[in-house]
Amino acid sequence: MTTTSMLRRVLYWTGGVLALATVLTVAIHLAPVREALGWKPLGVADATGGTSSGWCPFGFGSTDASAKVAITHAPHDPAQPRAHARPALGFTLDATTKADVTAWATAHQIACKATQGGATLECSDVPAALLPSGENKLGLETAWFFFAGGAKLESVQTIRRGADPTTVVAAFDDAQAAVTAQAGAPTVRDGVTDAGDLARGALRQARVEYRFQDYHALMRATNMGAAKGYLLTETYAAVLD
Amino acid sequence: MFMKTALLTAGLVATMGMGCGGDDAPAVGTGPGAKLKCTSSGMNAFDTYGAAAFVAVNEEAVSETLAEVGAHGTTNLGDSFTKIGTGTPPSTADALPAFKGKLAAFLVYAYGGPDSTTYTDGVLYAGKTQDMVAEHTGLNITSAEFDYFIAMIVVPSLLAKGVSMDDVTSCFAPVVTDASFKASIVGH
Repeated sequence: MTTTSMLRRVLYWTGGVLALATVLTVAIHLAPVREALGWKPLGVADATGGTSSGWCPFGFGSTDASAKVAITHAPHDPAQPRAHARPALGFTLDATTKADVTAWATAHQIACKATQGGATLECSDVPAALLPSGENKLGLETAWFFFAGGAKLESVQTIRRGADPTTVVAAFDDAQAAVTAQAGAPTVRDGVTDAGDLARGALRQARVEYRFQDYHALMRATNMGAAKGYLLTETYAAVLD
Repeated sequence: MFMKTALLTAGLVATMGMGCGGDDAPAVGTGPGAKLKCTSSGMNAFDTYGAAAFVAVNEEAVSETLAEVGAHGTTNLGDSFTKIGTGTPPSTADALPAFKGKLAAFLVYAYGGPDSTTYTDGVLYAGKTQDMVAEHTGLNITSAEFDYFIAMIVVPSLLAKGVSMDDVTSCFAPVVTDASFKASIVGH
């Protein structure tokens, strides 16, 4: 065999292997193939927070649950102090049970429905008087209570809307004061500082965030633009080791 | 390893910059935000922050979205983002890389950049010719989901990547809070 023919054979084999690899790489990213392999749509976890079973060197298919939580909630950071308490709207994370929340809702005639296979309780129109900062007049439009393993309260998320920036900022400040008094001082407070500043333009936002080793809370007040009012969101989450 | 990563990143950003007409002259954009002026610069958002910042904000927003869906399921954002790459409805046919590229191209165009953008994957994506209604048809996005996406994903992503609050208000907000823009996305 001459050097030329050997070189040609090597090139043929190399080209063939590369072509086959390319075809396989493309094929395993097609939706029907991913489904057949049991992969979820590109990096999206399922509603229960679980992840897909497949693995892909390009980052498709599965996602890292801890990475997701680290973005939305603060990651577990041993360097941070532990919170004095882990409050969430008057409840205690990792202690309050679903039965406790259900009883509270029933006692105050708050409409709640179970979603996500019972892992979440979605409650509507919670009066301001029931909140730790009940002195302001802004109740919750919706509150979601998430339960870890179906038993203990893992996190709470809320949305409130208001037409008056003063009321929204007062609710923001009251919620912040309630958490500071129970858990400790906030880690970050930035964005706008008062109702006048919030009202100066669309998408202006105030943020306060608490990052403890075992607790994370985040509150945002946002100017949603003319005629859309102001949005106040709160998230309280237990950070698991 | 670090050097390889840095070079690769620089190359990708440079590629995007070239695709965005990365000469020194300000881009002549025609998008709805092209004539808005950022408080910090007196120029539109694209000319103020440039292609690399738009890549960074786009990547941050997508990451935050996936994180939100991972943490809270469909509670706040609905199920539209869980359908990326499935093709059901047809507007979700794009896989995540193409979704990100198209999103970036639209944002670049909308805020005063060129009509199309070569994203970090090396693919040229059209921005100007995207039909927002068609892109969201079948997703049934609600007004509350749209508001949540803007307040909890878009604004924090802008701020996280160094856009000042005054610039968010002056040269970013008017596009996404415009009633007709919202109407092109919600309820289809």
